[in-house]
This record gives sequence, structure tokens and C-alpha cells, in this order.
Amino acid sequence: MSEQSRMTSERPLSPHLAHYRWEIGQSTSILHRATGIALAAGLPVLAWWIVTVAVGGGMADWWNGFFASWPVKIALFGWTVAICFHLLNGLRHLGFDSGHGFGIPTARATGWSAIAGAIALALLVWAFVIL
Amino acid sequence: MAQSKTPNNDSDADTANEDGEAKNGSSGKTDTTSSDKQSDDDEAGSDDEIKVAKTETNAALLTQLYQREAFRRSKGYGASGTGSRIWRAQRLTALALIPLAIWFLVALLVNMTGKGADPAAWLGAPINAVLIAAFVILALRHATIGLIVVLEDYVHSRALLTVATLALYAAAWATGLAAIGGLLTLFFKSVGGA
Repeated sequence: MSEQSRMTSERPLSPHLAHYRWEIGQSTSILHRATGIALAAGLPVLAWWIVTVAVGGGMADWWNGFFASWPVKIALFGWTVAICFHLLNGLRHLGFDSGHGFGIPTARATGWSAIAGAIALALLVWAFVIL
Repeated sequence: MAQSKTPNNDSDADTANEDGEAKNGSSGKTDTTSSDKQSDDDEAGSDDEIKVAKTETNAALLTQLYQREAFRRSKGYGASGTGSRIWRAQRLTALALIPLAIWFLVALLVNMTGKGADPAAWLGAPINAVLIAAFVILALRHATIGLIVVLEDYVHSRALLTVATLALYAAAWATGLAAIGGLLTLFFKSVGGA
């Protein structure tokens, strides 16, 4: 009885995030989840845009100005970075799922290239869009 | 002492207990003279009796559970009962979303951020409508699986988790139906010219 209560009350807890030395892997993991949540939140916005365009009228016209405005374009650039990162890190995860890239130097290299690649890809896409 | 006994010794313990009861019944004198030993035997005996009963029940239950688990394992299921179906769905939707997301991202930004953008015409064009519908459906499935994992990580009450999961599914269905309804409307507008 006492043994059990001691086990439940005094069990050592796993150290939380702040206790570990920083590694690129934890950043890519958190960013993958954050960008995933943000992109998921973007889907209802996309659906809402499609519905208002289908309905037509003033709301549909409002979106034209919305997309053309610079703050929205900057936000869309952020959205592009998010989608590029989730895509590249997702490829990394598909590699992990198939048993590849678990070596620490490899995992670090692919982690950094997912972040750098996301920014590079987003810039490339927007260069393509603007030019 | 009783706890250290192996199941093989249980029959011995039972016999000892029966002996003790027989002695109790035959004469009170035997009982009083060997009271110390007797009580020890009785305690050990009754403990063992309970232990034997528990062990038998547990063994039967464990066999049942083991058989059920073995059946699920033979079917490729795990403790969840659904096996790796959801895990695979997340990966397969991810694979399908690689080309779809790249196409959607580039096509949307190229066609919709310019000056003379015509969202109704772009969304209603048959190929665009079909590809966007595919993108929305696959992205919603991919997103719900991922978001449920997030909920499971941070919502610790069973009731709240159920409510949140159901709300998430409701939102996903609403989003999907709204997007597909809008796309169908625009598609028929563009095709029928009405």
C-alpha cells in the first residue's frame, strides 16, 4: 500500500523542455505542429472565400481588394513559408517513417535544410508570382 | 510466507486447511493445545484459498484477454482496434498532398494576387474545381488526424476530449461541404454560362 502510494506520489518526472540542451530536432518538431495547426485553420478561410465568391456580390468584390493589399500579401508570404516548411519537414517525416535519416548528423542536416529550404522555396514562389 | 507459495503448493495448503478444520470439529482440546500452530495454518490456509480463487479468475480473464488480443493481432489490429489505418491515412494523404499543395499554392498565388483576378472564373474552371475539391478533402482528412493528436496531447479530460474531437469533426465536415458546395455552384455557373 505504502509502496504503491510512494510510486504514485514520488515518481520521478521526465524533465520538461527547458531542461534539455537545444537541438534542431525539437524546433522542427514544434514548427511542424505549429504550421500544421495554422494551415488547418486556413482551410475554413479557404472554404469561406469559395462560398462568398460563389454567392457573389459585394463580399466577392471585397476579397479582390483583400488579396491585392500589401499586409495580406505579407501574410500570404507567411502562409507560403508555413506550407513550404510543413511540406519539406513532412517529406523528412516520411523518410523517418520509412526508417531513413535517423543518424544524428543526418537528422540535423535535414532539419536545417527543411527550415532553409522553406524560406528559399517561399521566396522562389513569390518571385515567380510577382515577376 | 503465503505470498511466496507457488501454485503447485496450493493443493498442499488446501489439505492442511481441511486437516485443521477436521481437528477443530473433532475436539476442542487439540485446538487449544496447538492453538499457535493451528491459527498459523488457518491464516495461511484462508489466504491461500482466496489467492487460489483470485488466481483462477485472473487466469481465465487473462486467457480471454489474451485470446482477444491475439485475434486482433492476427488481424493486424492493435489495442485501438483500428490497427494502423489512421496512421496510414495520414501518410497517404500527405503523399497525395505533395503535388496538390504545390499546384494549389502556385496556381492560387499566380492567378489571385494580380490586378485583374477573376476568382469566380478561376474557381469554376472544371480542372481547378476538381483539383481544389481534392485538395480540400485530403487536406481536411490530414488536418483532422493531426489535430486529434494535438487534442489528445493537451486535453486531459475524457469528456472534454470527446467533445473537442466531435467539434473538430463537425468543423471539418462544415468546411468540406461549404467548399464543395461553392465549387459546384461556380463549376455549373462556368459550364452552363448561367
